[in-house]
Amino acid sequence: MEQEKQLLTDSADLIHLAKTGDNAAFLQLCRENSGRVYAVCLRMLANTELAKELTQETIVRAWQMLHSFRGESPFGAWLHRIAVNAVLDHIRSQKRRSARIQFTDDIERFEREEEQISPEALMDLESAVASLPLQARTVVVLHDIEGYSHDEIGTMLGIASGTSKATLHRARTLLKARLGR
Amino acid sequence: MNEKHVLDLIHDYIDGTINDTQRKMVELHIMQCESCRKELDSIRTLVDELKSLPKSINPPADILTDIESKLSVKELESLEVDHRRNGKVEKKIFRFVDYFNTNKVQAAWYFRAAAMLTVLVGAFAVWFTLRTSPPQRDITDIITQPINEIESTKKQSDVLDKSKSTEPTSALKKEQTSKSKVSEKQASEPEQPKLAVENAQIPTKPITTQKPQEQLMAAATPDSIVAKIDSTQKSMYQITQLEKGSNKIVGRVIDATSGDPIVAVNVLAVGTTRGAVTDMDGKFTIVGIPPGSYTLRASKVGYAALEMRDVKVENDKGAQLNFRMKSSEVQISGVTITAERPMINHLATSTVRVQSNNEELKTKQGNNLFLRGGRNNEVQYLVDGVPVTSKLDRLQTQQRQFHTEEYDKINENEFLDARQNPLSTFSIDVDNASYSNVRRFIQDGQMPPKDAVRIEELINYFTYDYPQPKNGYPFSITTEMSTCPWNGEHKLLLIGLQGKKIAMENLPPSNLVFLLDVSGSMNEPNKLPLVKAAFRLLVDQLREEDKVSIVVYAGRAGLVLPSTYGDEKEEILHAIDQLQAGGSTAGGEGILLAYKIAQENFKKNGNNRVILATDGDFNVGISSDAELERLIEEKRDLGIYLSVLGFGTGNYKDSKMEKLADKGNGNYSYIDNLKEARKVFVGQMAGTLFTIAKDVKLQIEFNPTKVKAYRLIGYENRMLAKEDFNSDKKDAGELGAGHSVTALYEIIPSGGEVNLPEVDDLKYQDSRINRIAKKTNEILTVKFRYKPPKESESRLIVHPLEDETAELDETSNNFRWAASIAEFGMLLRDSQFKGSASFRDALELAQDARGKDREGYRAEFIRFVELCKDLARSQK
Repeated sequence: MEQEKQLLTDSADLIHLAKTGDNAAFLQLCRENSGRVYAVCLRMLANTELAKELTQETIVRAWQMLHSFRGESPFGAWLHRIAVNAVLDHIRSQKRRSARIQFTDDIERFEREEEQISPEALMDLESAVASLPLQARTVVVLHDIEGYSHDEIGTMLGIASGTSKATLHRARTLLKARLGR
Repeated sequence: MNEKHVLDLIHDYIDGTINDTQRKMVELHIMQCESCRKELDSIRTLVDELKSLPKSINPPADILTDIESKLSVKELESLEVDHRRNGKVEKKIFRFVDYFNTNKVQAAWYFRAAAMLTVLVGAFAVWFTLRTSPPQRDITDIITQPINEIESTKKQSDVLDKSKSTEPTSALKKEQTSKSKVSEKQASEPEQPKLAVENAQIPTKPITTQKPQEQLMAAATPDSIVAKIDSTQKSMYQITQLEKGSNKIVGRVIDATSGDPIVAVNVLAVGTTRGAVTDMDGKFTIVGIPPGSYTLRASKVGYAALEMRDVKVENDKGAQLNFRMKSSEVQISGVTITAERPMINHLATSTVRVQSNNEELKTKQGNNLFLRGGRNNEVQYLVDGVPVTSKLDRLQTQQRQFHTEEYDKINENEFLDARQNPLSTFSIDVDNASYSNVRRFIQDGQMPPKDAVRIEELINYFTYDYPQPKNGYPFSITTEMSTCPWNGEHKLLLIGLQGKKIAMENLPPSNLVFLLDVSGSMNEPNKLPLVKAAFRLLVDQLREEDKVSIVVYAGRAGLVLPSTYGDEKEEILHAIDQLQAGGSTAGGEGILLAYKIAQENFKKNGNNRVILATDGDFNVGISSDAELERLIEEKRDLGIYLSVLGFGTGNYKDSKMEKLADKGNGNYSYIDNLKEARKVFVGQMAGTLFTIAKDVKLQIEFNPTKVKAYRLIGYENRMLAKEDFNSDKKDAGELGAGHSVTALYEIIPSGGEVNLPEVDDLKYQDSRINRIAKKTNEILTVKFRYKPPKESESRLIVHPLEDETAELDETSNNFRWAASIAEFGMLLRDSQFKGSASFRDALELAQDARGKDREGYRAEFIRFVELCKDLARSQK
């Protein structure tokens, strides 16, 4: 308890310092939360390079937006939300690009989108999640792993919450199939 | 439950996003169904596993190392220091920042080291200056005073600010302490060498300006870099007197570190246009400069600018200046290139003229020329090549494409054999919404959809000149028979009911609850604004004993005006004016609230009524028609009636609204303009609001000796089974005060030609025509049943009709007018029984039967028939 309180004031101090422009304090905060940010990026993007890039993007965004952090939620949650938005923005920009120019050299990603997963290759849960089609993966990660509600997901993705629900159900069914259950 | 549905519910069950009923359903189902139970278990396991996946994954180790440089760059960028030239200095700064970032303790040590260095160099600099300056007695005062201040602040300084504030404080303190030592030392050595230069003054702010470069560099946070650049660096020059006769400033600029001359340094007398550029040897000469005091500024990209103030030029004297410039990062304010991206205005359009080959146009003229955007769903908006049609737009487009107006199909009444079906039973209908709706279509220049035309409502739209009832009956009965205008072989029978007129002041007090739809779909000029205008008319009619409240619904239902007496018109009008449209429709919820308010203000012998104004688009809450109807019936039995006013176009749910009013013992009117509103609320206020007879039914028994077959015109959705006539449980139409109802039968007299399917005579029953039928001259008997408004037992009126046929041109205006409308309606419906009917004939009949027509409604009808005549011709 005592320790927890200590940690809390520590992070409050760090936030205060960070807001006055102390990037060491800011990075300390990011370091503490980088695992969570990286996890959500990695699971949503299913690509370590991109996950790294988006984690960094998140931190840079957070640094730029730090003045808008009012401390109403824990710093970790705030950072997490920025990460999710950064990833969604990335996906959107990718979509926009690929809608006009079909990238054929990026076969790996392409195939994943097309759901060409051999049924006999059973996977562990993480890779099964990674193998899901984009929207299904996004919804599963946000709902089941990260605990967002369908309403929140709907707003973030610009879809109806009912659609989010339906996607989740479908995604779970796909997951079960891929896990051989 | 179907499989897919159960599966969805199982997911919801696991996620806890399920209501109680559904939860029980699922629990019941999985007890019985093994496969679903297994499915539930396996999904639950999966979800649990997903939930227990680690929330944190260690990122690659270098992830933050990379970031640090990005952040540092960001910060510098934000200070608009965009370009660094000297790699050495830059590196030094960033190494410092890195240290600072990675380890605060280490950083603190670094500051201490920097401070020490500062002290040493500072001491040297002070000593040097003092040695070369004329003695200044008060220098110790200047220096010592801040020390006390600084020391006191230091004690108070917050731990939080340690990394920032201690640095300058301690550094300054030490520096200044050493300076005071120097000054003490200086005091013991009073003889200072006299300065050779007279025309330069000692800097006015010795502490700042004497701060050596090294210290600034070392302590450089981005802030101090900027400060340094702007500050005057007077320690960098030397001034020597020139020989007499020269009236110029000469000098040399060298690199402070290497001592090499710097080429192409701009040296300018600030505030003048005099200046010079250094040559290959770093030398410059500013000639012809008038005597005076100048500030000289040396600047070059890549070096910190230097300024020297109070350089005095006198006649025959010149100044020689030597600048020692420090290389530094360059301050160039960022170049901001702005371009305005115009806002996208959905309403604005632009015209682009495309020149095309005339020949091509000629060949494409006619059907083949097609412009993109030519259809209303084809206007495409692109931003950077990406289509940006909003969801709303798409919706509107769909609405344009698919009419969402709803009409129940009307299966026209057919001819019935008078022997097989001697009884014709129907409920009266005083509604007239169909007429105004049809009028809307015709005014828009199109023929109305067939099923929007309910002939009895067209007929009943008009008032007829029937006599007032006598002997305490609530209504009078008028019958008239003549030749059928569209088929000379047939007869046309008119049955007219006239409700008793009651003057406004004699009406019982009203308890009215306006239930107004203010959902987004009402946000059109012919909807909510018209509703408001219409209700303003009604409010004018209210008496002080009447009570009014307003409930609105849109997304959520709300009480806008609590029950208010009719004489507080201001308040009611104010509430009406405040109404705004927006949100989705929660019609069901609104009705519940409206009924609750009506119940609370119930007037025992009064007119308790909910008046619903809507475009009929209920989409939330009690949204199934059946459920809604049950509710309305239940309230009707409690004495609260429902009147429905339909508004608007495009989204109009005619079928639903008629049903609602029907179930609620109320009227249903369609209001398409203010004139119509006046008709409903002012002209027929009493009738609209006060019922004089309820469950009014008609049953007609035809005499088969006189009638071969018959057909009721209109009233298709009001037909009753013959046994319903005597059943008091069977609901039927209401007659309002002053309302009239007109029904028309087309009759084929016995011996007439008719093509009806033959039915065999019954084997066990006698269907012979009896004596009375043969003897009498009665062609039919009309029976009426009605209930007084507060009673539940019906009363019967029997009205036999003699077989007397008048010539068509001898009939009353009532007859010919009704016949004309029937003919017109049959044409609009393209009825199979229209015979020789034509718009021309209908027009002739109507023109002849127009009568007094005080309000001009009949004249309007005549215009519509004319319009339709033209429309029909153009469609052919």
